Amino acid sequence: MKAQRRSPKEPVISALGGGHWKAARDGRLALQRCDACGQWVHYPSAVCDRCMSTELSWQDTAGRGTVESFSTVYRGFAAEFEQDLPYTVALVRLDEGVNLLTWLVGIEPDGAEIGMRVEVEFERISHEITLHRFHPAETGP
Amino acid sequence: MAAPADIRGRWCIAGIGEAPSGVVPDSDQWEMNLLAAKRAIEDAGIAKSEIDIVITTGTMVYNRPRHHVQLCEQLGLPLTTYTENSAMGGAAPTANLRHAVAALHAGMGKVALVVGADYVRSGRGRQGAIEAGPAEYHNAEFEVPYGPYMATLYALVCRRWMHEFGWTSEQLAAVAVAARRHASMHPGAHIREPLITKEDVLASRMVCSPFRLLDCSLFSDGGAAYVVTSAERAADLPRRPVYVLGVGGAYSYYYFEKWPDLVETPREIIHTAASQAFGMAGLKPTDVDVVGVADMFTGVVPVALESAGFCGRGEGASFVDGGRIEIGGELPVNTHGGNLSYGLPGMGAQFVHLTECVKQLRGEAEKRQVAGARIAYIHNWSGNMSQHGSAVLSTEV
Repeated sequence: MKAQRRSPKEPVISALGGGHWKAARDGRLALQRCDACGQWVHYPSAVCDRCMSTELSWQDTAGRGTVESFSTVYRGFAAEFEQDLPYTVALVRLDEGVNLLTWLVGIEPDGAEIGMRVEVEFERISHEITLHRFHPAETGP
Repeated sequence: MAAPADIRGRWCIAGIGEAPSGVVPDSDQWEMNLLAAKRAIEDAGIAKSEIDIVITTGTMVYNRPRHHVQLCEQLGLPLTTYTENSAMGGAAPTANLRHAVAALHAGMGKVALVVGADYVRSGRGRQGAIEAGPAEYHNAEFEVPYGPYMATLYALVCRRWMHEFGWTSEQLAAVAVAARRHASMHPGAHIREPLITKEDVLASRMVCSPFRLLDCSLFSDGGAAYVVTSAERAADLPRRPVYVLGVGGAYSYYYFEKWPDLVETPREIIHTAASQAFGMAGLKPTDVDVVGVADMFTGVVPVALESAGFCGRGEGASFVDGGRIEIGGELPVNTHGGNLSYGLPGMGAQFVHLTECVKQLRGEAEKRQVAGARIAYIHNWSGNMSQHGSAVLSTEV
């Protein structure tokens, strides 16, 4: 990855989301998990959407998943993304069962495939923000 | 779920009104909403003082929670008993019809005015309208940093349906071709010419794969309104009543990321709303003569029709192909030109989908008239397919 790519639109970190961003700065993909029933919860929430427990904690995922679908964006909708065009937005289902919206990297535009195995990498955007991207997995599942 | 009350044929659309459409200079969202409302009231031939229920859906250029009360004030309706800004967005034409019928059936009023109009194209500009999606509806923490636009998120859904069932871009292009042909016959459509072919759609530049430019809808000004009252009251009014035979609604995940499945989840949500409406009407998709359905992108039309049961599993793309959904075909869809060519005016996005169906049933669709149109099905949704409404309408009970 290029070291100094200009930052796209930076996320607005929510009151409950700090654990994700702290882990991302350390190169870990962390999501909330329910201490009571084990459900992975994304987006960050005050209650588990399965058992309604309020006991949730941040846990690292394995950072591997499968491409559910993808779309390569060719048109510069907003100035912030102009120099990233074309970029490939994907919905990746983590092996933990949670879907993430992300970018696929290390592929040609429209070079992804549904069902492709992918693994996480990180790109540091600023002091506070590190974003996850996914690239094709190098070994089997 | 408890069975809904038997409202079949008890309530009807007594009047419709459409705001100017396309790019309307020197106006604002109030004028769009007011003109739609005024025309609906006048079409119904009812005294405005009889209106006691008013439902609006807000706008993308004036996002205030008491939009409904302000609209009543400007319409000169100083005292109503049931009003709301329902924030149903794209789903509003059918979802708010359902709300109106619920309020009427519960005796909370006698005459309902339902309005949905906006000024997004001129009020925010084309670029501003495109950026409004990410800024206002997408998740600022986990979606916006990845630059998805409305088209990108819908592209994810449609690509998965294409993958599952072998649908092709060429098949989906038939939806854009039909929409433009229909718009060419509507004097108020945003883009009436040129007529386009599948080849034109496939040759337009890629925007968010698999969507090309001509797979995507417009941003426009405009909208529409309608008046709902009892069959008894409508019998004394000038227009031929269009009876509400059935309504349905379904609400689900706000974000696509939460969907368990990109194919089965939207199918289930749409089917839930549609089957309520058809069940209440005692009808089935094969009874329908004309359709108004969400078409912000070509690929969602086969998703909507297949999910509602108009064709078998995986058959949506072949169903919309070959001229079937064009006027003169077996099941004309969006005879005004839809969001793809008639226009997409922000929060009033699909009101004309409904008022056009009313025109068809009343035999007033002029060059676009579907011969013998007796039963209409309308299905709309908002945002990320999170709120859905369905309706079955007819001039016969």
